[in-house]
Amino acid sequence: MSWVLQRITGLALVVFMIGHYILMHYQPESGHTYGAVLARMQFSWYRIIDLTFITLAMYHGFERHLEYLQRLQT
Amino acid sequence: METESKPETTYHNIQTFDQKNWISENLSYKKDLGSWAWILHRITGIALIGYLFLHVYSLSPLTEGEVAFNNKMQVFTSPFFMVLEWFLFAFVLFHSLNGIRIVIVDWADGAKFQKQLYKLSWVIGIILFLGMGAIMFAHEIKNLF
Repeated sequence: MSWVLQRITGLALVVFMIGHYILMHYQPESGHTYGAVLARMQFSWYRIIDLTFITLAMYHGFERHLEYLQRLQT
Repeated sequence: METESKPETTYHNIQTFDQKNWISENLSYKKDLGSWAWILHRITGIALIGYLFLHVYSLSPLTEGEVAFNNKMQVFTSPFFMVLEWFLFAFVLFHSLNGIRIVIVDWADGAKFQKQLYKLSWVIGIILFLGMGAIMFAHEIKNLF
């Protein structure tokens, strides 16, 4: 089952990654200064999407290790 | 009277992984395109999860005020990290394109043409690297000259 989740999170991460790259590099308006980053962080939607992105990436990256830990328990 | 007993599952007969020579054994294994795809997928995956930590850490001085943030940002916009950014873009491209290839192999009967898909992912990757890279990093490229 975990390999299915690995595929699904992977596909989702591709979508997130394209959006992230376009937002951060393609749009000149989205600045990288202290004020600009803090202003972006004020939007709850931005934080929700960012947290989802990080959580999915962490799951996708550490899936093998979770599997190993589960195997140790049984 | 003979009792039919199920043979106990023992793992003594299973050939154990030769830990002493695993490097030479792995190196001597004949690698096809798919093997290289697997190896590169693993390497880029480990690199990307390492980068994720650095990426989140680079935003941590947001809690320490503007001066600390600008100091950190100056480090992360140095030429060394600019070069790393290009590597990152290449790694992300390979990992996502090869990942899409793996999904096609798993779910869309792509095992029949997995080698062609691998080559195609390289072609698409190089085109996207040059094209999107030039657009996305136009600002950085302009600053170089």
